[in-house]
Amino acid sequence: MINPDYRRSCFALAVIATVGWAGCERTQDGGNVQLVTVWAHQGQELENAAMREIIAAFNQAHKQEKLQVEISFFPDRQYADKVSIASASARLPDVLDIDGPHVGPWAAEGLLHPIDEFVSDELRADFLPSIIQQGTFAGRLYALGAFDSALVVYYNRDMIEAAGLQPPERVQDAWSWDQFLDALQRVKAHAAIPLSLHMDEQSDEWLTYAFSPLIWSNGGQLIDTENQRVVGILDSPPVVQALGRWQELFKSGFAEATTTNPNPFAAGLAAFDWTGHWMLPSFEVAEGLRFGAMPLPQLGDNLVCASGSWCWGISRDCRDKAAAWKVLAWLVDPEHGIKPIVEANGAVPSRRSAFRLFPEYGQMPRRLFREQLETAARARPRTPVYFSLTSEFARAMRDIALGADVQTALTKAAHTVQRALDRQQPGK
Amino acid sequence: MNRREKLIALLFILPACVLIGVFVFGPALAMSRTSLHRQGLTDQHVGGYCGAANYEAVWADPDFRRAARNTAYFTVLVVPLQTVLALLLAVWTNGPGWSLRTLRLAVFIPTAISLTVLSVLWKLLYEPSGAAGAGLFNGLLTSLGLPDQPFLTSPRQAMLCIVVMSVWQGVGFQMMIFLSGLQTIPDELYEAASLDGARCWQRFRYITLPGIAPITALVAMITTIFALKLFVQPYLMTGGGPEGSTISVVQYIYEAAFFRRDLGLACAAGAIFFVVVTAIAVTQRRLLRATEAIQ
Amino acid sequence: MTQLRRTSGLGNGAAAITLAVVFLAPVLWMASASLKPEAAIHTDVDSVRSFVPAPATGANYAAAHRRTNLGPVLANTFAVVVLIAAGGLLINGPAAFAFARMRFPGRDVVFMILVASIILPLEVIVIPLFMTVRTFSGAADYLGERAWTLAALSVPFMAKAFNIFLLRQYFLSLPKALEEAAFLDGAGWWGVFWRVALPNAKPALITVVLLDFVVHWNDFLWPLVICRAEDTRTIQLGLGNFFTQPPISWGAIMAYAVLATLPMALVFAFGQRWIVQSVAKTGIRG
Repeated sequence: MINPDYRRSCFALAVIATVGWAGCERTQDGGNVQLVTVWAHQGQELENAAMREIIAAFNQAHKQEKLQVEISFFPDRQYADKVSIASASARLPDVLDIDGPHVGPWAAEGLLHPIDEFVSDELRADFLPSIIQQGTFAGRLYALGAFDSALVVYYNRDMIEAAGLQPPERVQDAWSWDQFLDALQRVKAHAAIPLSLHMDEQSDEWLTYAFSPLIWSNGGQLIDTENQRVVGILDSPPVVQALGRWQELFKSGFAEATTTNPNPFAAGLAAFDWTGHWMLPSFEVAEGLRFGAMPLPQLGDNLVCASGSWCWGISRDCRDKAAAWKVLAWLVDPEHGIKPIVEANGAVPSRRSAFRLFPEYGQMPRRLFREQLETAARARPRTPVYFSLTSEFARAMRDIALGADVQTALTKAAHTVQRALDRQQPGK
Repeated sequence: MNRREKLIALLFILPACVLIGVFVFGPALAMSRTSLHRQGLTDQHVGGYCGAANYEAVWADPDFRRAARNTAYFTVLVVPLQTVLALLLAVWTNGPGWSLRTLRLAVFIPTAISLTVLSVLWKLLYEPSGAAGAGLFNGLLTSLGLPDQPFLTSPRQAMLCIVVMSVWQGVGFQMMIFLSGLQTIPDELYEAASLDGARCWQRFRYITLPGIAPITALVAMITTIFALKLFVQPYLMTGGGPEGSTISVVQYIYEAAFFRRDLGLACAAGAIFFVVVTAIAVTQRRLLRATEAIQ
Repeated sequence: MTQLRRTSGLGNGAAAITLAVVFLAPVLWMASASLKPEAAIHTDVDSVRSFVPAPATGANYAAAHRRTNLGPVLANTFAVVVLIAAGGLLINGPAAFAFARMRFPGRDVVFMILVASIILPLEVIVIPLFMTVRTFSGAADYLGERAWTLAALSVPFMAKAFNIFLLRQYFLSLPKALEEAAFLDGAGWWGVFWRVALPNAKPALITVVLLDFVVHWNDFLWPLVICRAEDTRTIQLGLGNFFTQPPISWGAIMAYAVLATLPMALVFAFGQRWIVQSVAKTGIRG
């Protein structure tokens, strides 16, 4: 029988050793290396790999200056929560990834440090207007993105030709809603699914992102940020009318309100696909698929396209804002930041000077992406209650797709968001 | 001697009391206090007193009602299903032989696997089959010629899918407890009964069931508390959707704090949750004592 | 002794084995998928081939290791469970002993209050607990991120009323003779606890340690709230690393899942005997 004291001391040693080892901080190499912390959301595997390379390149280039970056990735769904949690203990990272529409809530909460002081007029002009709009809240600039997104309607060339249609290629030639419905009717005979709307998307944001342009083009809005009103805005006639026309897509059997197939277009089942630049790679590799892209059909007189994607900002907990700016500038630099990430995720470069690095932007469909963003793009509203707004809007949209009365659904959503908005006011 | 003994006793219990006080009772009290005040996530201290405003906001919130309904639905399904299944399995496997031992082990294995891992696994199992996914269950349906089911993407089916997975995971542990309880029933009772000509069913009903009544009540109580704590499965498998059909109360509280950044709201919801859990636990304890008394 | 007479042993045995296999099917599938190439996982799904790991490949395990910080993550989780178990023994053990054997005013009242905390699981108080812990978050500047995270993950769970309850039951069932003998030999209370009571309470101790191990190895909600930098995370959180934008590589996820499960499966296999013994002994009596 082993001496019990011996056993106990072994155990104690093992505990201490484990704890000591695990608790050890990584030793820094000699000298005072300044560490800038960066948090990013997990994109596609290729994107993450590209991000790590971008950071590695930065560290390499700044070794002499003793400025290094440490990047941490968080799963998509948890990312916003982790930022929230960090903000609660005043331990935000120096530079952080921000999903476009989140600039509003986070800037309103005071989590972000405005970057106007670092951005020259020249630099500002180089960015696409949608990027600047996305990163601006209450008149100050908080975030800049390395890329932007594009939302178009792809079409299956074989089916379109069989139906005798000729879709437009330029934003100003975009079809009217009636023309669109007519096209769908004509293509119904040739396609199992006339229009794929990706209603299987689990995230609420898809619905807000994809269908706000319809509301905007009809002259409506989701929220009046200046007067803090949602009731009377979200459920106003232009919005109701716009979504009523959207509902026609389901009522006429052109689109499915629920589906389990995430990509019918690549499988050659759908004639039209209302989706973004991120699906392009899967279409390009789909066998036997001949496709094109056209701008979104417009409901009213206003020519509007969707925009918005992840961007970078500096947090208010950052101790050395100038150093953080160096990192941010690198992340949105055409050569060092934009090129690797856009090659990985196929998004649209955010700076005019970056387009020369991408010859494919001379042809369709990418030419359309760029044109949209430069001429007609609009960012989603920047408001403190964005989270509530988007989830209520999505809920209303899902109900509307299933046939609910548009006015009722919107009024309910408007009142819920208004309550959230009113709760914000006192005590702040 | 007495004085010294008291001092030593105090030292023995002090660390535990301090830790439990700081990390269990302290937060519970803080939660009650914060629920009556306004406090944003980044505020380090409570803000202004606002009475029942947070509670009203929680009560009026359709998300909370949905969460409460979902959690109740889950609990009401899981507790009886799991308890009955565990009991049946315990009775069946209560015997010698390697086949029974294998079954016992097989049923017990999922208990050792974390809910996180199992949620991810079953999320995959519930996927559509074919080009769209790698879901085993739909694959099974397909090979039988039946249509694919939406499972986790359907508001009606999602919670049921989570119930099935949870019962599957937890039944092993309850089975083990039942088994240990079955061991305590003396064999003589069974022998006497079969001598008297009692059949299987009657032996089960008049000897087994009363013998394990208190254990059953205990198992049901533990399972109920576990069920009310629901968080991981819906969070990982469906994120609370589709259309809020699987969001749990714990997830609501989590989101109130970190998503809506409203600590007052989160604490009010937490306080309501606490009261409900306590009430259920106390009620069940009374029932447990009652069954003990009968026995 | 069974209370259901077995008439056809063979039939029953076959039924039992069949049910065992069916019941374990998801787990078997997980193991098999972890060894198959990604494409095969998708194509095999409507046949029995999905349970057969052929063609077998170690690529998923390599991917799992590559895409998560497997080394530090395993070390962190291990450190946390060891801290909780060891700290737990040192904190809950003496308390249980005091409640069982020592007499002091308010003993039963304090014990009842502590036991009441059992109905306050983490999920009920997670937000205010977070608020309490964040007041200590400044310490991270001195301790370093990793040490602070390990502390935040373990210290709140070291003292557990349930463990105190279990240990106390066991201590109560020990014969007093040994302790009395030790007292006569001149040992003090601590000596009696450390040299007599504790060594004789092995089944309960092992149960408590094993339960702590398994429960906290599987912790998800609290690490979700606390962990930040990638090398401070615990193993269950690591699963999140795989949920990037589509396409999702399920093979790697299954491989990681297997790796995340093995340590505790072994612990459980070793310890289930003790757990059942202790549960029976704490007198779930009729």
